[in-house]
Amino acid sequence: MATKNKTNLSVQDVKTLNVNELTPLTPNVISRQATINIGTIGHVAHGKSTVVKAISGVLTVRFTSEFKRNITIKLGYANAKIYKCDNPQCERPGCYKSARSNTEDNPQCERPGCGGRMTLLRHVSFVDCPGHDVLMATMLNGAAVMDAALLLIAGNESCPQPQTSEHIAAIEIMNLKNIIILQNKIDLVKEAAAQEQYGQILKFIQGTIAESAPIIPISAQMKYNIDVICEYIVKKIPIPVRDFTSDPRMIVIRSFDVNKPGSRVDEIKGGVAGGSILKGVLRIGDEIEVRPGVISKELDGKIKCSPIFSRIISLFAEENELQYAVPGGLIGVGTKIDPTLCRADRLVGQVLGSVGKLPEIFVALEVNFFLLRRLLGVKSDGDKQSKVKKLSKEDTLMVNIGSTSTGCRVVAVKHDLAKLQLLTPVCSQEGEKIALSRRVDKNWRLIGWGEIKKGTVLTN
Amino acid sequence: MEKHDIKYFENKKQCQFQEWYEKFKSVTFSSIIIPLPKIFIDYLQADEFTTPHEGFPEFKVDENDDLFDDNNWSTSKNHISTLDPKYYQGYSSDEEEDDDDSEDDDDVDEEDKEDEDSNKNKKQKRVINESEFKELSNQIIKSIEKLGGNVFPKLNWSSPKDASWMNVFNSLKCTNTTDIYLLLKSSDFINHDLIQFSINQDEKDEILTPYVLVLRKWQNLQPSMEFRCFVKDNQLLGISQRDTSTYFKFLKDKKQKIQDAIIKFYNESIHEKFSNNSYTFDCYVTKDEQVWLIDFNPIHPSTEALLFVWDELIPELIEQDQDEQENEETKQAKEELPIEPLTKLEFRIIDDENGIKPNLAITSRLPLDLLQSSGGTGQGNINDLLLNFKNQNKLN
Repeated sequence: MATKNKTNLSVQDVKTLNVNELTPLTPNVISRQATINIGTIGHVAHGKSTVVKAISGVLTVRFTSEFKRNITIKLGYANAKIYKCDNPQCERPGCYKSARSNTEDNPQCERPGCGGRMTLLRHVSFVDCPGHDVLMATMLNGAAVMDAALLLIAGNESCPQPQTSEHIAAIEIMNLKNIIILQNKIDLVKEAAAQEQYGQILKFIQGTIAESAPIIPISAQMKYNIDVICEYIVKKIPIPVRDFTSDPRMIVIRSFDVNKPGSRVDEIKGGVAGGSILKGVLRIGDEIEVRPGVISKELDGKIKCSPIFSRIISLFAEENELQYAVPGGLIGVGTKIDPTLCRADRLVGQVLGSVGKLPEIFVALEVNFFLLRRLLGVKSDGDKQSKVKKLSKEDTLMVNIGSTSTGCRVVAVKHDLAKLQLLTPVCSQEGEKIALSRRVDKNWRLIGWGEIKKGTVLTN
Repeated sequence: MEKHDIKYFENKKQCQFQEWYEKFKSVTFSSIIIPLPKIFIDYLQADEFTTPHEGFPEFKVDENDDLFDDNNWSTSKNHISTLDPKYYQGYSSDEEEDDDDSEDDDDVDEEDKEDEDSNKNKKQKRVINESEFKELSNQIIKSIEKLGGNVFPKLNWSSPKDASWMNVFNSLKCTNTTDIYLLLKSSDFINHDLIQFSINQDEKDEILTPYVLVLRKWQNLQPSMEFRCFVKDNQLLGISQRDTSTYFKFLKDKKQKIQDAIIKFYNESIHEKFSNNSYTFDCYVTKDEQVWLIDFNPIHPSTEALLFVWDELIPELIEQDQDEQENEETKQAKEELPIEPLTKLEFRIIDDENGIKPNLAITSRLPLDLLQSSGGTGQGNINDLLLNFKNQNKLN
């Protein structure tokens, strides 16, 4: 976090910052942080993480929790800069290149004998999606967290593949209009087979949201056509429209305490919150509020919840230090918050923003709900999907509201309205959508949706 | 149980809290072990999940707030009225809501038949109320008091870490029985413990089971200073940072000191004292390099190897899965980082921001249906339905 400002990155100055002039292409911004979020959709076996790795240079992480030689890879975020060589002699697509997020803004072109300089055109963040779970929950409630998506199809299998239609549906749900289809593992098939599959894909996407998507044959393994992906990211993905001028709001998806145990009081660093900025600009020095905040138990047994007020001390995107942060990628916010409050992801799901500008804090809700007939997703025992029981008084449910998950008790039900007592306060507003889940066969299963009609506001 | 589960069940049994706590009492946090009667296990196993008003946190709200007033309801007619009845339940506009059941006559028949089939099923459907194990609850209340008012709960092996969202403090801190029951009933980790022993359904409610509830004095530990240690044939072979979702910059400078402290602790307090020669233990290193034991875990597929892969630690236990073809990722990963079995102690921490791993416990904040749909392995109609839902939103 305390990495010194790298001299090869553009200097940011809060004093001269004019948010009205910012765009997702402002050089001072994209020198240091990603401004476009690209979802990667595809089956792990189709090489999803290999593709991200080939573009971003970020090493993926291996997981083996089983005594089996089966390594699955999970991604979180990976940022990449995309460049184009200035030398007109350098032809497309070879003039496009990607590099790690901390690479300088005008590196030398690597083509032997070129001698040109590369110009930074985009800074993108790859989000493993669906799959980045807190974001996924947010998406359910309608937030657009993804600007575009790479859809992976294995080139050595015929199309449609079992997951592909599901992936296309996922893209439709996320309302992603900008899609690039990657026909991966092209090195494993003959040209004729690749051509044939290309035809199958075209036919398959007809009439779907992906209809006009470009299809690029690649081999992530052999790094073949990675430059074409870069070119398409630059040319085909429109610059997202961002709200830089509203009061900033960020959803917290991780929080931690980075202090060495036993640090002296004057050495202690405040807590860190990592998250996704939905709108506005966060600056170093900003006074901020985190809602709902800290929960404590008073001596009389009553539970108290107090929003946290603090100041931004540092900002960073991956390893790059920032003076101000805009929507895009995952932003780390160093604060003056008591670090013990941030330990172990304790602030996950909370909302960070300008003081006094965040939505209300509700501790009870009246919702208009609608229940599924049967459980979705995987089938439980037997062929029939289990029926969803009606809501009844005192039911304990899981409720997802925005980026928050918490428990609730059903206090009363009338027709399609229910009154819910929340286990933890949530920062929300009337009209917001919620998801309801119940414990069925020892798993939390989605049983329905709702919309907040009214909330009881916390007082202090 | 899968075959390796059976093979390592003995190891697992030795790692139960009640098996080691007495022996290691002086080097671990104060705890109280409460044997659990069958009725409580039945309560945990049942899907039925209600929480009484008492014990559920109450927040300060405006005295005039009338949300819970029984006569005060919003009018709801104006929304989501055109939902696809194929997926969504209707509701009756009368006070008696009974139309739904009649629509699904066929299901009722089937469920009846199932019930006849197995008496066991019926037993599991018995609704157990908290008031039916008052004695246990009292025992828990007394124990919480003895431990200073704040505890974190676990069963024989696991704590309900994955369910921290079902806790008012967003952690495992519990101050009363409701806090504890909410966490235990919501956790998949606890479920994992609950399938280890089967309990005869014909036994009486009061009969004690092999399960115990462990209450430990609540500690606001710094996750950066928790480490998992791997011991093979009485040799300390690996130490790993336990919270692998965060990069702690200061660890690099402190690494040698921490390692020395853990080795000393291992030699003095753990070595040849545990009832097996190969196991893992978790420990906490304080600011003055004092080491505390947190827990023992078996060499077992369910134990996370964290920054190691099991191949390096115990290569002889790895089974090549015959059915599963190696995928490209596995092959590539192996080529790039060939796995060498460890021969001497290695201490691994996350070296930079790029090394962090996603926090897997966070995945349990979403219902299973959505998690599965996201991996591309879900089946059925979830996507149709989400689309349907999305379209409804647009109409409103």
